[in-house]
Amino acid sequence: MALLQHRGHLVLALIILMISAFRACAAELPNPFPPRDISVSTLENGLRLVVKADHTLPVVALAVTVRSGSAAETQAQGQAHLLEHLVFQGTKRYPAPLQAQQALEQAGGISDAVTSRDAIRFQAAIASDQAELLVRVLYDVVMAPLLTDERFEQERPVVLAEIQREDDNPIVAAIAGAYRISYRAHPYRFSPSGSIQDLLRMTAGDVRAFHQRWFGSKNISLVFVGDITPARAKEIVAGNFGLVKPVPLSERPPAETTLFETPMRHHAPTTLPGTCQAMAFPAPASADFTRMVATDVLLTLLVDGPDALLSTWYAGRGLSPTRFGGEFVSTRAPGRLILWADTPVEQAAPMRDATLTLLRRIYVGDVDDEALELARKRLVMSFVLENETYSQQAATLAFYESLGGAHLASRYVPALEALTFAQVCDAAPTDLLGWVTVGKRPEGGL
Amino acid sequence: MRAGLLALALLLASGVWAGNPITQALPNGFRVITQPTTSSQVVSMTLLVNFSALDEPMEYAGLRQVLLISMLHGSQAMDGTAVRRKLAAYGGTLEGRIHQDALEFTARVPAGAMEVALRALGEIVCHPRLSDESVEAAVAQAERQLLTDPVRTVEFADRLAEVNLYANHPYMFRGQGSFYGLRNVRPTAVRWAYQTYVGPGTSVLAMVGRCTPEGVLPIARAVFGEWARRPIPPRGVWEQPLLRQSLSVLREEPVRSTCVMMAFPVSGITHEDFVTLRVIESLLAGGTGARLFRTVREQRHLAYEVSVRFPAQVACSHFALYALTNADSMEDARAAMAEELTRLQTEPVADTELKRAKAYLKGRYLLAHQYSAQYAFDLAWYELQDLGVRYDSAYPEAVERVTADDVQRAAQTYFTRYLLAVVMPLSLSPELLREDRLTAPSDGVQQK
Repeated sequence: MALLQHRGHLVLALIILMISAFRACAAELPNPFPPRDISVSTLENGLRLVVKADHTLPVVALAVTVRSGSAAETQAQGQAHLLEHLVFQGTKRYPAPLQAQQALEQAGGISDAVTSRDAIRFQAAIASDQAELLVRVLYDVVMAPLLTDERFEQERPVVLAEIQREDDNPIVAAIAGAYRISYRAHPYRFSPSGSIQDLLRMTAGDVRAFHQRWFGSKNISLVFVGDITPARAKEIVAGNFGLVKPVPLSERPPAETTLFETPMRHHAPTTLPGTCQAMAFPAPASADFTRMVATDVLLTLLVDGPDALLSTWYAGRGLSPTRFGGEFVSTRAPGRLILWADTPVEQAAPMRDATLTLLRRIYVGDVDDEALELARKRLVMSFVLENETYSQQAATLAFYESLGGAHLASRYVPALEALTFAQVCDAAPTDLLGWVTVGKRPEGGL
Repeated sequence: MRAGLLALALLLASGVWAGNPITQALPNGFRVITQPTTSSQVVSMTLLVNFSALDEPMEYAGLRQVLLISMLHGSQAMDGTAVRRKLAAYGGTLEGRIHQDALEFTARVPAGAMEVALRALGEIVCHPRLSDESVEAAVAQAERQLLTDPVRTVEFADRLAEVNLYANHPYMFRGQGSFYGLRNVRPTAVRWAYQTYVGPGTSVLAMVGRCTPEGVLPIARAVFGEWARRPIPPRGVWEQPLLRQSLSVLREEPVRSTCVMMAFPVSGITHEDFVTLRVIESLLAGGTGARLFRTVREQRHLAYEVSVRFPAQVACSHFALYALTNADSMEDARAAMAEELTRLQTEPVADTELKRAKAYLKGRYLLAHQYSAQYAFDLAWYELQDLGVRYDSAYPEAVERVTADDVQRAAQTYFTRYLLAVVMPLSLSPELLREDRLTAPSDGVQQK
């Protein structure tokens, strides 16, 4: 009996060992953001400091995120974007236009900025022995821009031209249109770039007011990635960002939970020989992290790679888009999954209907689970490859900071691993919210 | 400033990644380059084949493209879909791309799948099926790609300029071929091209990421070691396209903005002026301190976007300045760009400005090493052009050696006759550019 028990324990131990080994193999998906590498702290003034130390290269990247983007605009569309441009047109320490950026470039550094619906991000990378210069420049840009009337008048046409250039690309125009018609009143419906009419009416005072309202310590995160320690990062920011005062944070606009009963429709005629179309579907907010990750997998399954599901689906129905793709940008409030395609005009409506049919089939589980598994693996690889550089990693951590916290970046790959087949199918939207076409007007209503 | 760059450069030279890139040659002549990067979780591998547009007869323009696509359709043992799925099971990808001077096959996989990816790459490169059916399907695919219109205005301008700059030169097809050429491409021609141009002596594999030379070499030997050696064919020789006088071409396309492009014929990558031209590229368009940005965009508001492109091509190349603007400003934008080129010819660049341009160029170059796929491509490309992987650390030093005299001399040599390509929105009917407005920047300037 004792021998049997002993054997039983041995078998059990072996089983446990095998399961652990299997788990170890299965859990070998690479994660660019292992939790142990990331330190998060909050300074006394409420500013969040995130550091991912990596001493492989003597480079440091810094992303400064203000967690208010175009969705925080109240008076006109485009203040955030214009502000993003204007902060580089003269600061207290670097008063000449672009002098701040040039100070970084002279030291071999690079800088960039981007405005999204939820945030404005200012970013730069430089040799790590220039970290103090990096912080000094970005502090001045973010917290001490001059925002003069003169520079405002000179920069406004540049932003207007940028918006016009976005219209140059029919895909971008169709996607922007899909956002616009698929929300009733939420500010996400507007493009982060702004609107031409509002930009023409805007004043420098509007932009200064936006800066004053939102650029405060409790609304700002700093993300360092690279050759720097958390202690050193804290030391460098103590005398500048560490002294920034807080601003009151107001409530976000309520999320739209009531969808349109019938999909909205919009057509923009242009000289395109064919039709570019975009379809807008409801997508989860970042707080529903699992569903958000499932939507990413779904999008990969639909549009990514030579075996993209939509590719074979369209081909099987005699549809031949010149190009097709999709977009899902995670946002704090419920967002949109956009699927777009460039097609001959007579195929536009059939393609829309075919896409809807496929989504409904996925929703009820009528999809190959091997294809889903491939999509999951592909997405992990994309995530890793999109985070090869320190700048990219800083941008990703900053992005998740704007959604709810940098720790979400560490959770992404494990969440992908843990996702079930049912969760991905459930993420497939079945309600078309809006259909936008650019170019030739197709027949076939909704 | 200098200390930072020097530190970067020294660490690059000393192997800030886990060792310098190591080149190993198999007995059949196949070269394998390994660059370990300890912080990486993936391996990017790029295999380049030295089959240039210069080797492709004009009446078979597109042959290389068809060969590339056919090879990706699979090997004798495994079809292309099965090969891709094998890598996809690990989240990896396998793709091909045509360049003016090479065929590129790239695989990217998590580190644990390195051997699987190497074997897959070996299958399609060493034992491609090249059946009649796969070649015919590849021809059809290449023809469809020719029908795909660009999206951005700048892409339309590129196409317009290159067709005219490289008239009667194989570079005019941008690797995509022509309808006429593709119609002549038969399976026998494709198989002949493979036998002639794709072999261990004409191919280089570079691997960057979580890999080591000791780990890579045995697998490379097993996969590529039996690849039959072939004689290396002589390179096709073409007369460098010349512009006897400045020309203009204008085209209306379904775009919303106007692109003004000035393209100057220049020399190829092995010419001694290549690095100087890269520095000039940085002087003109490297960052917000660059000349075109400061004067054409910021000070004179003649364009909302300015840039320079100087492709690295073997036989010859072009140096192109772009301004994205509106129809009203296009002539002024062109004149403003031409003024900056005249300044380069007539006034030596100030020391501070030259230092800024070099710092920007070297900084971007070193930061780009973080992209494993780009780094793998660069290493393979240097080896393919017989520059060797040491060129990777030699390049920043070469940039540093460029002087103001070099810049002025190169500007006087190359910025003379040019092709002006203008792409405008449809439905606009501006006065066409008059020939007498096409004053070359060097008019009236004594050449050294």
